Amino acid sequence: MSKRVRPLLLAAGNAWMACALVACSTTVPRSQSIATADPVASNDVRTIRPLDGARGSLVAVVFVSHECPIANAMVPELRALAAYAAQHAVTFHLVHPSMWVTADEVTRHAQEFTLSPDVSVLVDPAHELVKRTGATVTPEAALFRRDGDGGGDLIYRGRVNDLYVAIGRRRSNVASHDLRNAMDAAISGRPIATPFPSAVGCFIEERTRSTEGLP
Amino acid sequence: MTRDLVRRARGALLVLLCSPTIALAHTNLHFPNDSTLDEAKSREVFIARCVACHGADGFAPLRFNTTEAIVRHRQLMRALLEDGTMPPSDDTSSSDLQSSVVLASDSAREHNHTQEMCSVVSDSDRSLLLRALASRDVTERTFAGIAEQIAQDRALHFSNQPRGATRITTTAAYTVPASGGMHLRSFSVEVPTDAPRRVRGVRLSPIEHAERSPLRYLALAPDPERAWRVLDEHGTGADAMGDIGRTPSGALGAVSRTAPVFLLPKGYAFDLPRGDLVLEATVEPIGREASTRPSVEFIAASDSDTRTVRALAARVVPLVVGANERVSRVVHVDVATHRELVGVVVKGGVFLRGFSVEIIAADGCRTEVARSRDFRMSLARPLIFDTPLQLSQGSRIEVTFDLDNTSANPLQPFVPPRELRGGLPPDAEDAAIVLLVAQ
Repeated sequence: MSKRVRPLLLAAGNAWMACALVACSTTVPRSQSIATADPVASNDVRTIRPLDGARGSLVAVVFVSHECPIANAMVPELRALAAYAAQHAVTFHLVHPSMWVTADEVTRHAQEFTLSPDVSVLVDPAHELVKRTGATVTPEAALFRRDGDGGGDLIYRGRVNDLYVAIGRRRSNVASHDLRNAMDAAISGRPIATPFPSAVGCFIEERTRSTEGLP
Repeated sequence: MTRDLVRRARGALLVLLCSPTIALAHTNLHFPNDSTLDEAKSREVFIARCVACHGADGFAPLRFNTTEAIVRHRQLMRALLEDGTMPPSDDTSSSDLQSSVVLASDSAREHNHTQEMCSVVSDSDRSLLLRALASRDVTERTFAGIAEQIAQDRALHFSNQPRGATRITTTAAYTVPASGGMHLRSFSVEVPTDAPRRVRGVRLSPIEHAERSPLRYLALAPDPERAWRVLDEHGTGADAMGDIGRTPSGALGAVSRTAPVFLLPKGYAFDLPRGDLVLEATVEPIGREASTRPSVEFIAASDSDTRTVRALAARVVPLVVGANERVSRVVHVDVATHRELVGVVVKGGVFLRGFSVEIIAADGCRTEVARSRDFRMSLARPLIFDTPLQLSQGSRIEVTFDLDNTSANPLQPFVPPRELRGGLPPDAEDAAIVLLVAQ
């Protein structure tokens, strides 16, 4: 199930926010990537490469949406996960997988939910990371082990935790911290017990599935 | 001849509703050049089943309140309707329920009612929506002018009074923490002197940025003696159920994000005494601290709404379920004199998996009138019967609550499960139904 990816990222120059396009191939020139990031109306977009890093190191991404109540409900857990990842040298990004979201909306959301300045927030308007991970909802997490050559293996994809067991069915407490458990296992070199648990959340609208009305 | 045709048609309907072959949820349907599509009905179903959550002030992501927006998201809507993901609920209970309703009307003519469950969409409605979303052209044509129709639908509930004239708002805001579980917060609010004496319903005041509101459900009870104020002296609410003595919360109806308007059938009304109201709010953390000030607007009754509706509560008392037990708890309400059942308001927490309401006639004949196998309080909506059910003298209402305190309950908060006792947080469990009846 693991997939090798060689990502190219765009990141905003804002000190706290990185607006990013994750591309899957180094053949995509930077200027072209910036052009496809047009829905992010920012003058300060820059490219980052989340899978660039030492071989064997880890990078976690969690797809979120500023208007998804389920993703928003998990923000306290995501903040804690970001801090935990930082302590263990795991790169951690939140990613808006949306062709519609604007930089202003991403910025307001990060401020409103106190994600800035501690948590890196990216945008994937072309859904390249979505396609690579196979994520279908927000919130949904993916964990990669870098290969040292700008790519990596997908070793976990699925729910952040079990706060929601279905839409409209929310637990009063979290019993299973799935992403954290996956990170723990990966950090210590153990196999991940359940590497691809299904996630509950708001559906990511596929760019290829709905081309009608695209901006 | 006509009667025979009607009988045959009814039989056909029964077969259609009962047949498993109508489970459209997992099929791929294609309706090119669909000239038989009932566009008006499609819009009506869409507004009733989708716009409550995805409207301009809805809490769910994606706005479906304009023709352009519906066209834009057409493919996603189709996919989620086809696989049964949306609307979020257990659609099998809807199908079964409608079957039982048809059976009931076939065997007992006094029960010729229709009703719809929380958030569910029937198979026929699902099929209708899929046809309306079959192609861009059909979708554009079907949903042309949908924004205006949504506005008209909302205005319809308020056509008998000026907007905002009877708005009732809590005096202070309550701040919901960033994380934790769903819980109750009840507020005492004074009824304005200019409020109508008789009301046909209530509407949740529009919430700005509803997707960021922690408010899920609001049940109302009259408190003419102002008894509840002792618990809410500062107006910021108290962590308690909003029942007033023997008057259950919900006695004046309830509204939720999925059902922001509660309206009795024409001809029926509540008395609204002066004094206080208790607003029992069910709130849910949204990921950051968020304040809420529940606010409602009463819908005045007209002169023809002469039948007075009162509340009867059926509650599991004492609510005790042993660890690792899944049990059915049955509560009966005896009908001493002829009444009509207008609607029901169900309340429960994480242990309430489902419920059913049956009417047992004096001759022992049972009719199931409401059921949910997948109760979700945060998506719940009160049930109002289009045609109130006749409760003859000597009949009995039987309410069965399905309570699951096992580790198999996906919402089980304790590992291992502990004995459940109803009450205040942290367990905050309740299993209650408010029966709205008229004499």
